[in-house]
Amino acid sequence: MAAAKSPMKTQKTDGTVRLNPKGDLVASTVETLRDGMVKALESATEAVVLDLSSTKQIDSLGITLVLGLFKSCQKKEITFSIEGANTDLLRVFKLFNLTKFFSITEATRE
Amino acid sequence: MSSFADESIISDFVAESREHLATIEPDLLRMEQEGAKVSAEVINRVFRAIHSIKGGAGFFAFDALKRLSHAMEGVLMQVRDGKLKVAADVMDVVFASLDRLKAMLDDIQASDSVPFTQELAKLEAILNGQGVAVGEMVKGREKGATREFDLDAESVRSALRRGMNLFRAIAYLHRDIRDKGLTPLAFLNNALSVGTCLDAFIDVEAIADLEHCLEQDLPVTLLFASVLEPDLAALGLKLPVDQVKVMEVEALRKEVKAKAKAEQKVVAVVAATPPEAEPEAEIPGDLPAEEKTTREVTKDTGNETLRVRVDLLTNLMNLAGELVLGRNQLVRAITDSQHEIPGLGAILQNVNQVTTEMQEGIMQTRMQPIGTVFSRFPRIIRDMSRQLEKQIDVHIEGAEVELDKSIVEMLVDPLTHIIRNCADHAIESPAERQKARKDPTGTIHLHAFHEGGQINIAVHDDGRGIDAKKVLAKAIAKGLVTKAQGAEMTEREMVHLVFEPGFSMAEKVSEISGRGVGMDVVRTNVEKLGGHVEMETELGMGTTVRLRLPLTLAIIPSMIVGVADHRFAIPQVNVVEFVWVKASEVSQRIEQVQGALVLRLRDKLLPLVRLADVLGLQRVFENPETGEQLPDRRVSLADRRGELPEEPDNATPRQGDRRTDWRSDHNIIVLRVGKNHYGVIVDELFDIEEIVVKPLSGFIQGTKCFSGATILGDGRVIMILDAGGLATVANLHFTDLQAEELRRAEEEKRSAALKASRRRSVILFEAATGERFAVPQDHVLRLERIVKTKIEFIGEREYIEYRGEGLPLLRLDQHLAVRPLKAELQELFLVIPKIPGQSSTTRPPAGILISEILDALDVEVELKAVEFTGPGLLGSAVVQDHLTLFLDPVALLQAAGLMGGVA
Repeated sequence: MAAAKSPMKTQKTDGTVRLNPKGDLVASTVETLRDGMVKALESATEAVVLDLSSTKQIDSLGITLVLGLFKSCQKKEITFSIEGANTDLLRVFKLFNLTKFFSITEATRE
Repeated sequence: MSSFADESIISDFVAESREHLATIEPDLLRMEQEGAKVSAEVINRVFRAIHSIKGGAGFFAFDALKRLSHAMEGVLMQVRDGKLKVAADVMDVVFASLDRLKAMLDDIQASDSVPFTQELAKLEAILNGQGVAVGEMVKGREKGATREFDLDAESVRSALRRGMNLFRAIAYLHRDIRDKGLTPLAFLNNALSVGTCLDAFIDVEAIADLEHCLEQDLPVTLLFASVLEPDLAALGLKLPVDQVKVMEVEALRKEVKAKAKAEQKVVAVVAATPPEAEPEAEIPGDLPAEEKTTREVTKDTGNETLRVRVDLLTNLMNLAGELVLGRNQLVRAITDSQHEIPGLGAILQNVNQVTTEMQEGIMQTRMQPIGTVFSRFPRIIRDMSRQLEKQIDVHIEGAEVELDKSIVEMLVDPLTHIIRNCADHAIESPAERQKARKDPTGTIHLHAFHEGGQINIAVHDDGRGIDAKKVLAKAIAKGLVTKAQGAEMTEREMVHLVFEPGFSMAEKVSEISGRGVGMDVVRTNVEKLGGHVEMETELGMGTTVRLRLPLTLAIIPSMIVGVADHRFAIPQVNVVEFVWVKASEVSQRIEQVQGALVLRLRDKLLPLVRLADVLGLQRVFENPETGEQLPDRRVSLADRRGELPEEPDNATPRQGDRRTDWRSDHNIIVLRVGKNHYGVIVDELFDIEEIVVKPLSGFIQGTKCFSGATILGDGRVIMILDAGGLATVANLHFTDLQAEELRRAEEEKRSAALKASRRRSVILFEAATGERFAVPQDHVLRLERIVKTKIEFIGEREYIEYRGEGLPLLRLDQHLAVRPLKAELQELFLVIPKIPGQSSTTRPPAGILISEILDALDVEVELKAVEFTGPGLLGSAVVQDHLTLFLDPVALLQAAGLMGGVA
């Protein structure tokens, strides 16, 4: 399955933390990812960007994880956004109307 | 898909996109005004509109349109997500991009050739964070969600129209999706195969934070539309039946209505994303502008609306007009025989009523709210105020007032002109306003309302007002009016000079405190529509321009007139009054001034035109003796050969004299063209009819005299006269006449003064028989009757006892070359002169002997010199048909050496 060593790449620039999960947001990965996210969130003071450019699929738990991350950012009063979502992910986010909570940017094609 | 279908779909896309753009602009202005306080609904609406355009552009492969709208969408997304502050600089870029989108949509096939790289680069700079220089990024904007659906009237309506049921469905992410082996995408795809998802929400308050979220089973609530019955819908959605509830349509309607009315600041609501990949249908929530929403929701909820081509409506209206004419002809043709067929009367009445109602209904379809014009002004003012560094607010009232589409379209230019003038010239700079103790923000108030079957549009500004005297000075300098004319003008007339053609064309108008550029164009355009324009102003307080317009141009009440066997229609809006000039009065009332016919109407000179002459028709007259129609060759009505013979009141009119025959009476219709009036002489006046205006064929469109044609009830096609055009063709010079009027007024004033100077009150008397004299009454103290025997002599001088003293007497023949009094007269009269400066009780110096007092009267005379001279002789004049000598009694006494007075 997905690389167990580092399921997520974390990058910090100033107060912004960029989280780049190295695979899908599904039942098998969410817990590990959640732990990494909790840690990373501690150092975020400005914004959290969830970069889903390496993610192909998301399941119910994945959505719950994203919403949890958003909720925690909201509590910390920092901006949360998603970048690099593929068409399928974007479609799910849009149909669930998550775009009204945070900004979601499509993966650049071509 | 055929190319025809492609074209029709593309034109639908363009039409829809234009509607989107029309709604975006006011929303963007609101975003700019309200800043962070603007409701999420407004931002979302703009976002959705741009998104729709982008979707369509992508689908039809209009690359430039797609790229630009995509970038705009990106910026708006940042705003929506609270990442970007709505600063004026950012809005400048968005507005400029919006203009490019408009230009692209104007010629969609050439949209790729519209330059847009500059705007795109600016948008991208904002998106790439370089926008900090342009727009300030914000953080930690409070995001939230509503527990209610974002009800979009149109998509709800559309679903109901298609016979769908609306459901509130709750799906738990774990229980209903994961545990059934579904991914969220698969669940949604399945749902969309049985219906349409109109909206969805997750209760943000219910979400646990990161540490505890995974244990949570979050519910997602969907607003779902489907043709399935409730039990089947649950099955189709793969949800338990108790989680799928049918929504009450009535309750929904109320909710939609309440929502539209309340205008509450709903936080973060985005329309649901529907199934298909077509971007056009992807986001159904393309809500129109605030007003439209309210209107639609309150008026139209539950009713169907349909997009119809304008040419189709125009054609329908033409057909309705034809039907009205057909009905009129039918009624006229069978009125006489309707009693012969039982029931025909009722049928006719029914046809009559249905036709009228149908025609009114079709007219309604062409009505458009004036708001479609008004809505463009906030943007114009916004751009101008930034450019001019002024602060200007625009208030709009009565945007829902409806007018015929053609009038609405033709109002764009004049209103834009007025608005631009308001912003440019009328509203002062903030510093100036503060100096004048005004609010630094100026206001332009646009107000439309119905009054007396017409539409009124008032544009009011609270700017500096117009200085009437400066306007007049400028008009004089430009030679539009003379100084003398100016002196007679009221302030209102002075201000209205700004509507004169040529006023302020050559110079910078800003020199005049107020507006003025091309206001004549405004007036001309409004008058073309059968309306008129007025202006009120108060220096330092502001100006109001008022337009009065007809509701429609399609059916207008008109006066039907006849000239030489032809009939014409004159729109009633142009008709001021009718004047009947009897043939016998023509010579007194109609005259020629500088080669033009004029009628004296209530002390004014009204220019006249003979309709037959203007239209090049052969005038005819009825021979009073034979009744025969003969060509009328008289050049001018005012050209009278010889005076009319004087006839006693009871005399029968002379047979055969056209100058007195009633058949030569003149019917004059006084028409209004702007502020000027003129009279049209016609042969006959018929009725006032509601006529259906038909456009002129291309062949005769160039004629200035006609504005259209119509068909009368008897099937006769007649032309509709254009009052302005007639005046132009007849070459009427209203200003010349005004000058003439002014000249006559001056002349009358002078002659009145002269008359006053000639008017005298005199006492008329006789000395020798047949010799008449007059003395001014104010030179006479008293008139006394005496008996000749009472006259006494001292030396050569005669005396009479007067109030206990001797009064010297004077005989005229002793001082003037006149005959003496008859010696046999026993009774004589005395004229006792009044000496200026002496009181009436002072003893008079002498009396003048006369034979008889004839009269005391007022006369207007011009004294002429007499052949002989003499003391106190003023001159002579004819009074009561007799030559009369006018005397100055005081001068006469002086000459006789009697002023010292001896008793």
